[in-house]
Amino acid sequence: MGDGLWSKWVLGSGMVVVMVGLAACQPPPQRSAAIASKVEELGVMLDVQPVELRVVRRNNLLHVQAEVFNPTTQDQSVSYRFRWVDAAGFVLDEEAWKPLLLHGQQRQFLRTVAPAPQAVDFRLEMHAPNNSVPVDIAANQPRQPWNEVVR
Amino acid sequence: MRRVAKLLVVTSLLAGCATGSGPTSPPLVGGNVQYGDAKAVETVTNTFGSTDLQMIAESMTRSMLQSPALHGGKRRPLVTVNEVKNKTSEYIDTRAITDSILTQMTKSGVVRFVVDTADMQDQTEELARQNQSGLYKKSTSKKMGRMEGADYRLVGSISSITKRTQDIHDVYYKFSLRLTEIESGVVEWADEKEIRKTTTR
Repeated sequence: MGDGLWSKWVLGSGMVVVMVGLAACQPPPQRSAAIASKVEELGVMLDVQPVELRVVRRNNLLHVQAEVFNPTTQDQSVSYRFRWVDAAGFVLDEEAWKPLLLHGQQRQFLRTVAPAPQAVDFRLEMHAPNNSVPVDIAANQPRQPWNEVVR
Repeated sequence: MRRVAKLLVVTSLLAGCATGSGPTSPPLVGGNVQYGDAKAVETVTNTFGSTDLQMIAESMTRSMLQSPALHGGKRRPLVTVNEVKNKTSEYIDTRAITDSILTQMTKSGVVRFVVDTADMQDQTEELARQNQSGLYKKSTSKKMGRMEGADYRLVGSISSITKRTQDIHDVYYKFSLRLTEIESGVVEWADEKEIRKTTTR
């Protein structure tokens, strides 16, 4: 095999591998801007997704309801907590992480109330160790190729 | 020659001491000790743990904050904590749970707590010392008979159901809490928190 033919073969094989890899890639889950601005993931969750957020102020306290959905057919474990912020942007007390088990195809509602009337905003922190990948913040995309992490 | 050697040894030891205790000395490190996240989900064993305590306290506090009984009055209601009975088969410091609830409710600013039965001994002793020992100025000593009575009392219990097979150990905890108006005896608020923990071999 000549050098030219060999390099063409290598190039061609490489392109095929890249194309197969791209075809197997799962795009990062799309979120509405409202949800994306309120939900902070530790990594990128591949399976469990926050799908809806509702916020209302009653009795001078912020009430939040977040709907999360497990589109897979297997049980998924997630940890979550809310971070409350006052009008000056200061974070109120740190909450404990709470475990949540989602059965396959299940929707769950995370309902909570702000710990004090001073809370005017919140963030929902979510962590799904079994179905998330680390994210490259600079590139704003998963650090690993999707086809390597999608089961 | 031996003197020179001794001098060298002493000098090097002193030098070692000087560098070891200087401002740039590293922290003492030994074994495999490291600090962890006190708020992390703890699943070391399936006995009652820190995550259970934190979840119960937070769930109860947030639920109680929504009670209409605590809102709308001219002044913030006064609450006292009664006992939370441990009906489980394991040792659980229920006082730690009620202390967390008291702390979070106090920080919310919605209610105030008055001295409960566990703290009453210290409270009365302090009042007696200020008024009866003759050690304090009359202008600064706090007067007897001016303590405020609570509007509500908190009472609760924690119970568990344990199931065990050769491969599975399942524990179900149920924490119940009630807020009762003291004068009328009416239960103004009640809630439960359930937790299931399963260990598989």
